[in-house]
Amino acid sequence: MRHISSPSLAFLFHLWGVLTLLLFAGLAASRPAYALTPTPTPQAKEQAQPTAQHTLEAVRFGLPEVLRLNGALDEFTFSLPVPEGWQPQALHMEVSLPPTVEDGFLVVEQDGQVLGTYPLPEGQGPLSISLEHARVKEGRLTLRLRSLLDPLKPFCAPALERWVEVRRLRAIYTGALQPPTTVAAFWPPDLHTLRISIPPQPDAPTATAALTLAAWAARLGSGHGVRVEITAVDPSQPLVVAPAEPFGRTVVLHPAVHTEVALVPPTQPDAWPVLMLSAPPETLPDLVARLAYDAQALIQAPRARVESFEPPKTPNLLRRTFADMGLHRLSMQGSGVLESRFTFSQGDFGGPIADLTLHLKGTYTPVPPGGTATLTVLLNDGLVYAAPLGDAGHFQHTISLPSPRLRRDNTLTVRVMYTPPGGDCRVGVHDLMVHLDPASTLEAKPGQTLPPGFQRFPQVLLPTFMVTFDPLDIDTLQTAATLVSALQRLTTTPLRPRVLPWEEALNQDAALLVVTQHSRKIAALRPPLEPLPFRILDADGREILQLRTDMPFATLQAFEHQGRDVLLWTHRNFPESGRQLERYLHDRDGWYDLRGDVWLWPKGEKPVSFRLRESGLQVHTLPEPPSFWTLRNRLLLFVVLLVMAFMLLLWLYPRLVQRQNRHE
Amino acid sequence: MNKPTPPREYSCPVRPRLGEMLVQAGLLAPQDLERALKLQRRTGSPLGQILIALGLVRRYDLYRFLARQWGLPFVDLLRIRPDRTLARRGNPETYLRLGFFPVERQGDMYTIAVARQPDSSLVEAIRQALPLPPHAQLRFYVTTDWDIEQVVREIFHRDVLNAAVFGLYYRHPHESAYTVLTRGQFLALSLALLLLLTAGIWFPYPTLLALNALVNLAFLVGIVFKFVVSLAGAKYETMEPVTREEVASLREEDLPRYTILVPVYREANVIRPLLESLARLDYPKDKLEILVLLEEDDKETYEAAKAARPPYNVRFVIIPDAPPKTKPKACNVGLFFARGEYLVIYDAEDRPEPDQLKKAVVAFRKGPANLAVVQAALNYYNSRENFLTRMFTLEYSFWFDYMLPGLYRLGFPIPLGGTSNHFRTQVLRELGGWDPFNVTEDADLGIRAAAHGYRVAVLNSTTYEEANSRVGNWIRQRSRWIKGYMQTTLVHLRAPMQLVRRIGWKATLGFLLLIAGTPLTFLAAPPLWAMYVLWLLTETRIFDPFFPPLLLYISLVNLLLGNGIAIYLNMLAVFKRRYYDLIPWALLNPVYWMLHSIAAYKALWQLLTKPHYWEKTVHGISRYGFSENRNTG
Repeated sequence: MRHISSPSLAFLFHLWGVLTLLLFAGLAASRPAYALTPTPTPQAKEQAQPTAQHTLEAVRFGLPEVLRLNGALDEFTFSLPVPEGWQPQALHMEVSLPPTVEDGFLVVEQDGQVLGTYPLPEGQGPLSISLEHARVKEGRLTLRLRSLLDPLKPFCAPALERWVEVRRLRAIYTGALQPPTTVAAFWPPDLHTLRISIPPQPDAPTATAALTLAAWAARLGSGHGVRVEITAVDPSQPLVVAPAEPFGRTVVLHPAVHTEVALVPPTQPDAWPVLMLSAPPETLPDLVARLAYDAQALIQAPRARVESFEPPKTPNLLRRTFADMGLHRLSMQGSGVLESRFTFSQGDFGGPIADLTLHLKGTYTPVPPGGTATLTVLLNDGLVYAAPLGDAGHFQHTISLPSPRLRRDNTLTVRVMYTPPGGDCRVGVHDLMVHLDPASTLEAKPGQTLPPGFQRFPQVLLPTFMVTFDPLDIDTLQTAATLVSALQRLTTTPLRPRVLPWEEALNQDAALLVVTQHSRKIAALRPPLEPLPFRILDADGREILQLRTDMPFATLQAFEHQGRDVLLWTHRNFPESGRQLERYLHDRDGWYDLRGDVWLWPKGEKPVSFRLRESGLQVHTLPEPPSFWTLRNRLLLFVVLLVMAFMLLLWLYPRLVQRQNRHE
Repeated sequence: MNKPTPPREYSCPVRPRLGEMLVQAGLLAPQDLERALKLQRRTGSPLGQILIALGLVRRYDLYRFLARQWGLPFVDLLRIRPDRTLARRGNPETYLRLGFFPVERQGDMYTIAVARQPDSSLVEAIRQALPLPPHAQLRFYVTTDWDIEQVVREIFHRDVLNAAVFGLYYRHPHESAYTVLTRGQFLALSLALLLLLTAGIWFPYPTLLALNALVNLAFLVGIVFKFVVSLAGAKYETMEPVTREEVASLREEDLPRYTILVPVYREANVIRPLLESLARLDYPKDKLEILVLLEEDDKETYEAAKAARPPYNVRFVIIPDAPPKTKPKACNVGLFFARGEYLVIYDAEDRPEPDQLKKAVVAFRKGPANLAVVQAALNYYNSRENFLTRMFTLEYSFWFDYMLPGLYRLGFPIPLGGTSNHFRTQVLRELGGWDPFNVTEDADLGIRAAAHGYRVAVLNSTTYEEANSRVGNWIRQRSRWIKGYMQTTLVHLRAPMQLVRRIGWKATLGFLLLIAGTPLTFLAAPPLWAMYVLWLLTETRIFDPFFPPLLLYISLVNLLLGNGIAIYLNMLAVFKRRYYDLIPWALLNPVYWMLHSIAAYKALWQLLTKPHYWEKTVHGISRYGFSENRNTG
């Protein structure tokens, strides 16, 4: 969550002091010789560290490759994981400034306290920030970077020519990695890879448990996808070797008579414990759900026999306060444009929503005489409300957010446009302080405003959804796990999959995820695109795409069938696509990048997504030539033809390679 | 057995003149003698030969009087039983060539029947041929050459048959189609089939694409090849390898003995016209040996042939009834008995131009020393009968008037046409004769001749035949030809590198395009047509993957330009013979090609099931007679 132009009081005080010193020194126009003592570089401290040094690239944890802070004042809050046994030492980065910026600072804060203020190098250059005094909370290091560029220049209008770019942001740690010792401590602060071992022939409950775990894992990946690897393990010897890695974990789902949760110590050196979840198959999904979403409270021991448990209950999510949604820092101060942006998805409300009302409350310092201030609310960058801020010092508005503006992923912007008296926008001269009440609420009514397609997912999967396979095996389950993991990234509400046999799943009302490779069977679902050779023509009949018989491809399709939303994964002669799917869905944009209702991935090419239904595009299924059948049954065909060929050759040999006179 | 009177040892008495003896005996009219003597002065042939050829004296009477003239007793070889053991000491070919046959042995005395006056050279040859010890004594009877032939046929029946059937196979097994495939070929083709199968199943798209590309490229190359060759043929359209002046300048006494082989089978209805046609040949009768090759089981034709009362230079050679029942086997038997320096084959329905033999003689004399065969052009006298005969005429006109001359000019091997191929008999024997297991023995022989370093030339003389006028009959005939081309391809590709070494890369390529390419073209065409028609009717896109842009262009060139060129070449074919009314018919070639494809698939099936089966073409079914034809002028 980014909070822009809402500087903290502590920062402003600090800044005020700096500016005062600068003014007294009479160095307003040229580069100042700041009286600040730069924070010691971490290199000197690192030398004193006897333990190993580790580097984490921030880009691996969902941060952009290039972080750009715009305008005279901007800030960026981010969080990096700190694995057990590591201590943060420093933050390294490359910064660059445009020639128009004459001087600037980068202030590093944690929980409102300044850890250090660093002058930015002219042009570009490296910057190191000491994290010696940084605190780690629940395995994470949360920091805020504030940029202050040419602070003495007025900035009522957006200062587009002022920016600083941060690249190659990386954290340096020292220490020795500690493996988890209790079930509660099993999950790392950030998860990159989750390995789930299940029996080679998984049943529906085990598959449900695996998918629930995959969904849970996705929530542990902060700003990035989590790779879920499903592997088969012999149920009679369910011991697997888990590699020792800070952001990877291994879980074994073990159908058993008794319900038990155990952190199994490694059997090999340099390996890590494995979390083994044993339960009768029918209770395994609930155990996983309970454990995943409530592990901290449940078990603080390496092993526990679970006698009885309740599956977690889903709270009412239709009315959510800003605090519920994790929006805690809601203050803005300054002049010009003050802005707070919040993002939320429909899924955060527990399902698709048709109507949304904002109850916005807040307080503000009175607008000085001669100044003007206007409060505006924007939904997805479209103005939905505007009201002047007068002398009252507080406001309370009930704003109906127009349904047509609602998307799956929304951005709510609360913007205050403040012009100080006389247009004097210098920092600290006529600042306005606005505080949004965390008790402000977003109240939603269930409904559907989005057309069928990817935009409806994942919210239509809430509170629970069906999953069915044809066939159910490790590979198809892997595909489903990848999909569930990718979908979970889009909402804070836990996804609750339930795996059912094909016919049973089709008879349910809830949304459905189908993973299959048999085209004939899915024809009954009437997807936009059947996985047959086809070509797509535009409205003028011009061919824009063709997939021939010999071209393997995979498709992901989101569509409505008999009033229920269906997400269908299938492929044609591209069985490895399921395992490779993660490559596309777990990149930075992932599911956000999907458009329309069809995502098409021809083997060896880049996937494309587009809207097929009600788009004017026409699909012409190419007739299935006999070779298509042969592709599917090629081994059988090969054997049959081979036998026939040998028989033919045996029959021909005496006729063609004869040595005896024959009477014809 | 009637024993002859004891003969006396060879001596050289004073001989009375044969003609006078025959006149005195009343067997020859004086004016006939005068006529024969006149002819003898012109041709230089022995008088007896002329008398027989003209039918003035019976062979039997002639030799009786010759025996009297030579002072030797006469014996009817067919009435006595020669000593088979003694006969088998020698070679039947030698007996026929030298004109003698051993009759019996009594101690050191050997009795020999001769059809020529024994002299010291003959005695020496007999001693070597049998062979005889130095102290052996000889006594001679006179018999007819026909009797010697008959007794050779009787005693060496199996040997002659064996030589006719397996002669080539025993001498050059790799040149015989007796074995359709060698083990190596079978293995290679099996591997290719299995590889194709494997690739087709596991990599269907690349395989079908590659196959399609291969077929289309082969089509393209084939079209270009035919176009270039026929252009070369057209360039020499007006050239005459043998001029009328050269024919006219021939002196009859210098003309060599010529053998005509006429294999017939169940063609009783064409025997009489055949004999009439051969009688029109402008060649001294006494130097013309006509062997009508009659199958043993074909009594009807045999009776018809006898009833036609052929001239005395026509002999019937009965072909033993044994498999394979093929024309080349019959020809090989005929070759065994042939005594001409040159030899030509005519089919029963053939109508050669009268001066063809003389033109062939000129061609051989003018040609290089290694010129082994001269192929005359074939055409049809019933071309206007129906669609089929018209198309056939167009095809033959193109083939013989443009294609073969083009092949000759460009130095490619020439597949001989079924008839009217003139051979040097000795070279033909060296080559092993015809392959009785190859159903296009003619095409095979042309390639074999080239492989042995001989040349085949074309002759500007035409033999008119009867074009097949019925579809079923046509398909039978064409399936045989195409099967023969397949056999010929397989035979000559048993050692491909050896073929290249013998005839060179260019000629090998020509062989592949012409002989191998023809069946392949007709086999590959139906799937391509089917694809095209399906696409035309349904606009289906299922073939798109197999036609990437370049291949699509090649296919289009093949379809439009290739077929256009083929039709154009057929139109071109009419110009030499001025069959202008046939030009529009060339547009119907696609229909004609469909018949070819049907025949090609039949041929392929027969190659696998009945490789040596000779699909007999029925002749004499045309409504048009030779004399009604306006093409022949």
